[in-house]
Amino acid sequence: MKQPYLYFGRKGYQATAGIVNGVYGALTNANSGMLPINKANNVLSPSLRVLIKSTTGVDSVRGSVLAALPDFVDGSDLTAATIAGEVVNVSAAVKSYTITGNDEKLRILDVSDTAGQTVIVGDTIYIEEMIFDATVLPINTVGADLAVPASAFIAAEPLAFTEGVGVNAGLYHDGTALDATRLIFKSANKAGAAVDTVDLVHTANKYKEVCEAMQAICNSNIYEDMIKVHHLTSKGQVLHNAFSSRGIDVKRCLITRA
Amino acid sequence: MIIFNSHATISSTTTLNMYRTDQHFGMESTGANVAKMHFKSAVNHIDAPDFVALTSTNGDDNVDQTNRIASMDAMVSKLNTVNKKGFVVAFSEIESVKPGGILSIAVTLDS
Repeated sequence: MKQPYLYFGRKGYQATAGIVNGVYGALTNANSGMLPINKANNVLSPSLRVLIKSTTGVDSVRGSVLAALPDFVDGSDLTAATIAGEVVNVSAAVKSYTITGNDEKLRILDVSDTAGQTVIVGDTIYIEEMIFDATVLPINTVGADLAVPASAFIAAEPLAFTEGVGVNAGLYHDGTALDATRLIFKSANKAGAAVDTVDLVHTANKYKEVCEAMQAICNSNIYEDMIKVHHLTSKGQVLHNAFSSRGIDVKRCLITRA
Repeated sequence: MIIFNSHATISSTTTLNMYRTDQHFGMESTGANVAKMHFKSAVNHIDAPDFVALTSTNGDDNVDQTNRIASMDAMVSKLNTVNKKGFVVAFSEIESVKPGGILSIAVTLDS
């Protein structure tokens, strides 16, 4: 029986509450779809983007290096004081954060350093994997990708997505609303009752469009190659036209194997 | 039906294996230059498939990614080949059928 094969590659994303001491919870495959490796304070991460979105104006909480950057969303000038809604790209400053001890925890500097910013718990931190790079794992082990025949597709179902804090809950850093959908497949390596899941965090109010895209892909006549539904390359994100043409952006692709 | 011949000499249970293409579960990357195909176990175990490891040329991380995807693409083409007069040869060391840049394969039973 001829049938299309669907290929998914992982992409990590997490939006989480600000932590005053700057030490964030460990990123895992389960909570964010990524495992970043250690990062020293003298290198930029080629893949991980870290943004802070402020929710309240606070004086003298942003170091001079970050204050010299433009707002990441609208390009306006930043200062040492925060303004509600401002977004600063912490990862643009080399030493602004580190990951040490193989614990997958971001440690973001506070205002005591020129490359730091002191946050409040109402701020939202956006951690996003942008390209395929060995600094964010897994890239070639179980959970990195999945290729399944269309006949293995069982169902799609909406998931609650409320990551972020307060007015930013469920929103991307630019204010775009996000939802999540779970795609469920018969397991790629087991018979019986086991399933593999692909959880997509995507543009809000697109549940039906995600289902349409899956139907179009599963009913296509592509038999010579896998259909690359979603994956990252060294140049960025690859998202199949069946999704992008329906106005669906994908921020996270979390693969859970049985 | 699809055939995997991993060795120049056919001498054991994992040197030439046939599977049903409709009992192929899926594929995934499992190493720098390795992707694996999973088939329903030849001993019919529910949670222990047989797998075929596809080894391609080793390079940097980006080359490896490209090669793994190429090897899986090649297997999709093979899995979708309809040959009612006989089986499909996915890989053969003896016949030097090595699609998609796959250098070698290894079959593991009931894993």
